[in-house]
Amino acid sequence: MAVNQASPRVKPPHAGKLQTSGETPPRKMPFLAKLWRDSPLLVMVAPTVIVLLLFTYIPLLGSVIAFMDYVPFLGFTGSDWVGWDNFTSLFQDQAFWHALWNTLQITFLQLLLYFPIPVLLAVFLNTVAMPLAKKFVQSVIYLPHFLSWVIIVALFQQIAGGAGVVNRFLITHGLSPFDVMSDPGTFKLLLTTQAIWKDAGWGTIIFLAAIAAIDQGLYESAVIDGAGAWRRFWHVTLPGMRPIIILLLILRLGDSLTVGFEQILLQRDAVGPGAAEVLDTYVYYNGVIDGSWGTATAAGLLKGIVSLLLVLVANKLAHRLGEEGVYQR
Amino acid sequence: MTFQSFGKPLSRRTMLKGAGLGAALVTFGGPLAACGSGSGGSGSTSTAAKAVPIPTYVPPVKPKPLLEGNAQGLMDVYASFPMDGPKTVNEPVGDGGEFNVMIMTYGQPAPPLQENAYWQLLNKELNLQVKPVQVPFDSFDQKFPAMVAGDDLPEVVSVPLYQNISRLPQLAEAQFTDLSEYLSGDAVKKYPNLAGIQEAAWLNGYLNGRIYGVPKSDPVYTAQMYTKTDVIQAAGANPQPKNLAEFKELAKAVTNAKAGVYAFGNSISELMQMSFGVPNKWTRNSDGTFTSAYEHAGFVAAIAEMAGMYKAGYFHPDTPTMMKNKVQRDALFRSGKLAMAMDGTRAFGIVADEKDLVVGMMVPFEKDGGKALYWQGGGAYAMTMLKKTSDKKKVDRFLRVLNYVAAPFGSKESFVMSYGADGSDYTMKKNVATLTVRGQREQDLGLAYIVGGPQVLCDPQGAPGIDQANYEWQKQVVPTILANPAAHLYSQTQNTKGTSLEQQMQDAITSVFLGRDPASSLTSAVQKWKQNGGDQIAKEYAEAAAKAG
Amino acid sequence: MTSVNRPVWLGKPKPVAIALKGLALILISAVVIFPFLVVVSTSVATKKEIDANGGYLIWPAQISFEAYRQIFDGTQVTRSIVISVGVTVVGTAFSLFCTVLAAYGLSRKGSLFQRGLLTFVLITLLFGPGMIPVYLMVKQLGMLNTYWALIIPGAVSAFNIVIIRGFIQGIPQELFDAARMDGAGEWRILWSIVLPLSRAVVAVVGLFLAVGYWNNYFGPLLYLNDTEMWPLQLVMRSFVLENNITTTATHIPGQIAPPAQSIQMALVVIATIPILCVYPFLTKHMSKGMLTGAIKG
Repeated sequence: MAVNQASPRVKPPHAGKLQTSGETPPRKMPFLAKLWRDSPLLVMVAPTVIVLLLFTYIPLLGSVIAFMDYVPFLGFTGSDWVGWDNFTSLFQDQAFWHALWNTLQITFLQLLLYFPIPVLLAVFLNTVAMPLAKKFVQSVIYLPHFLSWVIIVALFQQIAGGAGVVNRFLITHGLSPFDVMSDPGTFKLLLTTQAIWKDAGWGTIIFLAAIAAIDQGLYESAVIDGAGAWRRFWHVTLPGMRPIIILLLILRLGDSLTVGFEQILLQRDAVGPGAAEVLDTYVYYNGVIDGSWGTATAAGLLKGIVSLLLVLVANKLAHRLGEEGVYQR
Repeated sequence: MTFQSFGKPLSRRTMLKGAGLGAALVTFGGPLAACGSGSGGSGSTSTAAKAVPIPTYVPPVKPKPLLEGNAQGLMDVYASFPMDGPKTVNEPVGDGGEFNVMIMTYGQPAPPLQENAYWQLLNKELNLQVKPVQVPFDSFDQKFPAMVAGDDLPEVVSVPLYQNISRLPQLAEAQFTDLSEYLSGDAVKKYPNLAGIQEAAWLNGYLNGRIYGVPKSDPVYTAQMYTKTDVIQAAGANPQPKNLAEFKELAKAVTNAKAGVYAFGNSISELMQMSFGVPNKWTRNSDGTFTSAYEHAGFVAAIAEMAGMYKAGYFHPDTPTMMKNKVQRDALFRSGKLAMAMDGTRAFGIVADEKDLVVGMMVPFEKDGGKALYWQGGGAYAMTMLKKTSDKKKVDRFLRVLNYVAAPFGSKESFVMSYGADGSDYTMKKNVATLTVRGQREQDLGLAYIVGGPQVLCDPQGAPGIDQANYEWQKQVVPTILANPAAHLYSQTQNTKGTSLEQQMQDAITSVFLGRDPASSLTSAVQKWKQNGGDQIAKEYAEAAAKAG
Repeated sequence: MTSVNRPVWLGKPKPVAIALKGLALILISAVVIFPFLVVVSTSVATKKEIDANGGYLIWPAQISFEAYRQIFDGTQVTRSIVISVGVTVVGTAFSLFCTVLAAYGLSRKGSLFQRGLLTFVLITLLFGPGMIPVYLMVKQLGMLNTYWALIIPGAVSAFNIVIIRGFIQGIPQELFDAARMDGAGEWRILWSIVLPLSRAVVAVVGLFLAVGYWNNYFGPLLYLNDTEMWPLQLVMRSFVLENNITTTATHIPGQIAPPAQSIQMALVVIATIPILCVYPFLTKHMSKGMLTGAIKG
């Protein structure tokens, strides 16, 4: 059974470079006719365009302060221009590169360890047939998402910290304690574990929706073809979820340079900036606390550019694999 | 997705460390690379003429305290609020109009006017419609610049002095009223309660040598080392060590890992530095140059000593994470799992309100038992300014309101400010007023933060004897206080990058403290600090001091 | 719901598999319920017991609802809950309206300006404006100190549009073709084909949006000067902050002591329960088989 056939996301015939499918007439259609035909679609997009224009694009013009020594009371017109200084001061600081490296390491670790978990959880929940049990787990699995990092970190410490339950047990039994909360070597793993605890359940929701969208008929025909549970997963469930998995993966890549600011800020002192400084905390401690809006904006623009590159590359890769990605060719 | 976008992460609370550090964080400003225009202080700031005379001090009329304080900063102690105090404001204050004031607050918003007896009473007393714009303290560094950029600051603005205000002197000159002619010298006598504010506090209202702000006085001391006296006595130790050896003895004696009791739960860097004779941030040398306390010989030694104590196991195992978790630290301290805790002055109030807490304060010591020193605070907590106006009537109204709010402890006006309306906000028991829960909530308008003279100690509902104990502590500490000579000087570099420089030093201290780095790494950290801006700051302070004369 | 029951064609699982699955379910539940249990327990514990346990506890020996009583005594909590619910409902409705329309409007390849508009939307995923420029725009439009400032500026997120669009593109082309053959316009197709078939993802994005509006504290902080207008999250934060002050704020005679840890935890409970109530309504849209029999491949 070919993977693509099993997918409910049946592509239009001849999808790809030649846009000759029935619903998408060739380009030669006159502009006015096309406008007439597509005007409802344009009307539908209009509210979004207006909101984005007003609250994203026009304010984005304010990013010129990346090239300024911006002082709020002097405003955009009164503050001094400083050229590329805000950027070069970032590039010249070794700590900036170190923070960037830490950020990428954490992102990679989370892609590897965190990202698959909501997918697996969703698939697992999907195989549970007991309606009550399933409903119960589905309605509690995202609970930790609503607790603040302060609470999650504090609870983590109460269990695994230097004086936590585990270590108290070790101390009272004459064993040597180990403190995972202040070990720079394992800090990135600690962050990932905490992130899984807090947000993996929340993340399953979208995948549950993806599974819900799979055509049940495909399972039936798979069973008729004699497919077992594993093959049904491999040939029906997974292909059904694949577009959304890839979509989220690309979106996460676009967010690569953003990793748990508050979570890290709370624990940075315990392991030191060497292990814990990420881009956002670096910008915070080297720009924001000085009220240096220019530095913060410059860093924001850099992040945007890097994200853009990552998304483009990832999207290209998705296309190579025959996926839609976020953006078609 | 960008860093400064909408979902701005929560915890700005992390900016607030111990009180001593807090006082140091008085900066804000532009990017690092703007040295060209920034160094040496450009613009009008550095060309300020000599300062206008300090407002004349007229001691306030006050009811007799239980224990008398002094002008050096020792606080008066009262057993309870004196009900027979004087009336200090005899003419009408306001004009029935609105009084919009921005206040940085620490609590929840006060109940709305219709349901708030305290607020209603205050409006009536002041003959005004008081409209506070409350900014939660941990978000001040976001909201304030936005309001400045949007020109949305209300008529009256109160800023805490430890907050970073970008180029405050220039901002004040451009947007706030120069109050010098109304307050300098004898002019202040028109507002007797403002004349009761002492010089140390007024110095904080000066910008460019002129008076722009009316201060809210703060205790002269900064952080205190609180001791859980019952725990210490149970361990047979002395809660008042006279030198470093005795201090370490105390730490060792109270630590009992099996029982989960430890001497400390957070950094004691300030105490250690004071005991090693490290000066208060800066020293002004005889030739007029400034030297940072980080260059003092005692600095590295003090941190190394603290690191040694950490290694010896006197600190709670959760110390690395607890440094950012005050809730847990306080819980452990209250329940006797921590024998000592270093905390800011407000923590005293919190401690004092716990009726059955057995608690004391450690008097600072010199490491070899010599003459101890103690870092002095800035003298004021906040200053309150008026948006630029040339309307003398407006200025007069503003100062009259502040004059009422600043009424000294014991006066009728102060009672209204502190206790509100009879029945709903407080109850009387044996001539002692007690705030109700509702009364506490209704006070959260925050007016108490904007202006005021010397504070007093008065905790009738707190642990018995706690105020006397604090008084005794102050009596020993106040004579040893050491001022920061740069406290009221302006340095452009300090304003634009001082906070991040300080953060890097704090990071280096923490790394040594927790044993991640050797003490020797501090020496290079200080070198880096000097190169990246520390030397420049010293130079600018020297220039500013020379100009101020 | 019949659809959560085992379809006949799946056959009976082995007992070992059932046992393992049950164990896994219990473990997962325990891990996710634990932190919430701690929060609830701490909220009803006494101060002494909380202190003795270092701030949190799993099961209180003595139950006290003092924290809940204090929270509602002369505070803004009740009022702010009403405000939060209002902002969340209106905000989610408005946001979902824009998002679904845009997702469908951008879903048909080759339609006029489709690539350009999609790029326009996607760029906002990567570049966000600074806080001050957005504030100035909100002020320009006269939204300061109004609830619109909490609803409109953040109403549209490219992330949500992209997600819904991804699902819409998964709907079999044949359905569109057939509808068009019947003479249905775009609005009809959206209403009678796309929406019913995308119920699950629309429900999920609706939840994302609702949680976003519910948890938003920074918008209100920045745009609302009048504390009477504050929503729950901001009021709650101000409660919680009281406990984290270590700095020089003055000690005022008779000043309020920071609230006990139990009050903070009670606030977390109060702030979480309304949003928890939303979820069960969503699960009915998340059932399998929306596409069953829709196409015969």
